[in-house]
Amino acid sequence: MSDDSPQRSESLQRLYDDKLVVQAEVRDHAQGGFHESCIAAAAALPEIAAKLREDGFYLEMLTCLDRRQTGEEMALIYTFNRFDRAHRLRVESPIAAVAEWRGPAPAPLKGAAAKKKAEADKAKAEAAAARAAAGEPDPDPAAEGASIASVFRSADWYEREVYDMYGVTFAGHPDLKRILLPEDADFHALLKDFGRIDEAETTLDDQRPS
Amino acid sequence: MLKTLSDLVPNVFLAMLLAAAAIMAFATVNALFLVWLERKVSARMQRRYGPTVVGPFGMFQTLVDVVKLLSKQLISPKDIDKPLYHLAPIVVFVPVVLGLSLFPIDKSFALVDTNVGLVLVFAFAGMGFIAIFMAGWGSNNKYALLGAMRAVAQNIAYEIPLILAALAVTMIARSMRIADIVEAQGSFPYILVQPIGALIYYISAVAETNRAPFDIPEAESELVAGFHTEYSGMRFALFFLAEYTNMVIVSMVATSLFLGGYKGPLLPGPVWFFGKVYFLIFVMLWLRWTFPRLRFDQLMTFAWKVLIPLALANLLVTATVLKVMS
Amino acid sequence: MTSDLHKPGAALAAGTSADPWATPPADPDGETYYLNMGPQHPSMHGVLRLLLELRGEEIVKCEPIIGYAHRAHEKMAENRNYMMFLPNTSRVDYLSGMIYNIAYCQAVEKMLAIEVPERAEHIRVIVCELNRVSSHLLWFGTFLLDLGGITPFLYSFDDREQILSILDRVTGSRLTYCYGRFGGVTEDVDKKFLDETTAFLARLRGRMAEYHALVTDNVIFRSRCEGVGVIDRETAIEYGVTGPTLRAAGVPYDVRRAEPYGIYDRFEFDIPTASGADNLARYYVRVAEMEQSMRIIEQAIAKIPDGPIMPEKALKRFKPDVGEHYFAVESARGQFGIYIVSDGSDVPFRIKLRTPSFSNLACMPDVLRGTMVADTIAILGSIDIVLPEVDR
Repeated sequence: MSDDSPQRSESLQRLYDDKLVVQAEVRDHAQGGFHESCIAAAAALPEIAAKLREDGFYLEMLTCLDRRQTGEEMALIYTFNRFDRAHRLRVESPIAAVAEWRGPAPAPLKGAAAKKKAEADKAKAEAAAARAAAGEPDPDPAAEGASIASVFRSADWYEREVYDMYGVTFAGHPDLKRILLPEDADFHALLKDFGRIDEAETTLDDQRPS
Repeated sequence: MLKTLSDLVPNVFLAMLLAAAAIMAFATVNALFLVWLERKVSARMQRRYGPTVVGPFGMFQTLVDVVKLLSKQLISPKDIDKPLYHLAPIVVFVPVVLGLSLFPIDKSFALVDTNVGLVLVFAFAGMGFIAIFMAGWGSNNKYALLGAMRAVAQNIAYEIPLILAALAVTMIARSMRIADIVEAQGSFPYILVQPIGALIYYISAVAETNRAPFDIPEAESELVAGFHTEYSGMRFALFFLAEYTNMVIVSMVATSLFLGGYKGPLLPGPVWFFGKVYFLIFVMLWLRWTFPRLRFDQLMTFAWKVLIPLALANLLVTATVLKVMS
Repeated sequence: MTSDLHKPGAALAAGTSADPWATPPADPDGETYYLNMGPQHPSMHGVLRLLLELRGEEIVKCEPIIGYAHRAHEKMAENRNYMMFLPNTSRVDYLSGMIYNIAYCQAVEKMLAIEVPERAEHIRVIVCELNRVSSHLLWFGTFLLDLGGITPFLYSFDDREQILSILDRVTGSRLTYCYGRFGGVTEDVDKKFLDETTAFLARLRGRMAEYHALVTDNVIFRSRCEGVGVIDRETAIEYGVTGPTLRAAGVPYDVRRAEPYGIYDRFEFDIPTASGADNLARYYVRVAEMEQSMRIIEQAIAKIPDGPIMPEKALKRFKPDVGEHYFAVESARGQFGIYIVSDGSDVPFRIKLRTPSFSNLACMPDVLRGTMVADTIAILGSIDIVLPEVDR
């Protein structure tokens, strides 16, 4: 963090000082809708949630991103907010791929785009290496999420939804079962390699047991 | 002199047949009319038109509905208690028909005249709830069972203030013959003597007929349809018919006990009698389309903690006054 | 985690119960029984199924089972471009479809940094607030219907009908609007629309007095509502409850004030709160909110400028930059959030719809414990859930 970056909120600073989160940064709310953002290991989430709850935050949203197609990990996105003033805190937690990627490989980039992509990747890797050297390495993708349903009971349903849609399990969840899809479904609908429109005519039926 | 049907028709069996035919005809036509009236009244209260298509002012709409109900297939759910389930619609209708016969509709005419008329009316009214419980228990449906349990509890709670209020009237009239009670109301009706009694009676009567705001046994928004959830077609129609006839009976009792029955100036007795009855029924409709429903425990609290003590106090005061005056 | 999720039965092994219709185990005392309320029930709002464990009429345990109206809106979003997702938005919550539709437009405008013309902004405020009033009117009717009062239902539907007709004239639809476009709105409003809206507001003000006389002061209504279904501040934080349900617990949190979007920061309006946190408090808050919405509409009508309703350069095909955006609006039921992740293509990488009813419904097991069956319906009604919005 450079010196001229805006001041972090007390809550986030405390999490940062306790070494629970890395990449704690202040964001422009007018731009992306988030006030602050950070990255945390899945195992640290219950402690983070408990600390935030003490500070008066509530769990606004929990969802997951499936970035397996481009060879990256999956990520849980937690959003906390406050009732007394708007303060949206985004916590990202990397999760290992729940299943092997079965969809098509990403379209190969050509010319300037490929060059741009390579530069971005390089910058990203350098930044990560710099953080690791500074003593706050990026958390490794966890095999499963840690449930925060004991801190915020709203997480109960959100975690069930993420499990339902992505197949990510949560350690310590009281009753992890499907919530929106049928209980006997054998797919996770929001995984990027399920039910793509380019194969939609056959996919749904093909992926069901005969 | 009050004449009954057996006085007019010498043959007993013929008299019975005639009475049965007259009552059935009245019960059916009355229900048809009341359903139409309820639709029209509710529509007017809700800024709608109500039925307009079939017949003048949509009056034959209910007739058409009856044809529909008659032609519907009777569906019996699985695993029912067969005797109870099939008997309930009949049992619910019998006491209602019997109750109708007991009221003098004019100075000189009643179908049946007995010196325990009032007792019989309440006895018949109480029987209706046995049928409701049979229906709820026999249906193998939890909503029906819940509705039946509510109905029985409600019946027990509201029968007491109902009878206590009527008892005060019989003490003044010194008779349980309905014709005598009407006659005893000389120039003014008993509602002036017994205003609290009349109010208690009317509230309890609305509860007895399971009408809103006391319609918890069939509370649509909670129990689907309560005890008659599993009944379809004509079986359901019988419950419906019983409910509407019940409204007439409790209103007839109220008319006879508190409003001077067939008495009234100028117009003939039956006009006054039915005029008062249908006015009371109209008030019931009015209540239903105005108020939300009470909760079950609030309903019971209201009966046991308000109505029954009030009815007892009313009875005590009446008895004391009568003793002092005599 | 299982290695291959697409193998048949893998998800079952991962934790779902094998037989969804299996009877739950009976309790050892034999004093309680189970009642399946819904998904088909005359007064369930939509297709919610409540698995109730009852002792007599008292609720020992309640488990809401949802998903019967799941239409995969979020999956659809990932399979079509930004523009093609527009009609989906108002179907997520069909009672405040306009608010959702406009919210999605505003979210995408934020991503692309599109300026919206002044006139379009004012039109958006007017139609959104009209939509909010119509949603609250519908709630008013159905809530009373849940309590057994049928007449107020038809009264409020009469009023709601007026709004639907007004919006129908300008948007072309009565319920599932697709009125917003990235940068503005589809059709300009004419003078007749503004006049009709003004006339409607005057009419509704008169009707409100009638509603208060018929409902608010009714003894039975109050006894059904007072102290029933308490959702206090702590419960709200626990479950992320927002909207009128939260404000009835005395928390003045309204997205229109907390993070003003559109041009809401230019209007004067109060955030009604109540302290009871019960059914009655929620009733008060919603009725007061209708009046505040009317205030906002009046101000917007007074201030609406002439001018274009779309930016000069219309947007055809576009590819937002890589990034993520969270955009929150106040729907009729609470905070509606749209979380859009872009991977630089013309198709959204991920659209997560944070719907208020999902969180508001989640607290049901806690709130319903120990209440009566009759209260279940009343409490559900007072929270004003819309099941398609829960299930998406």
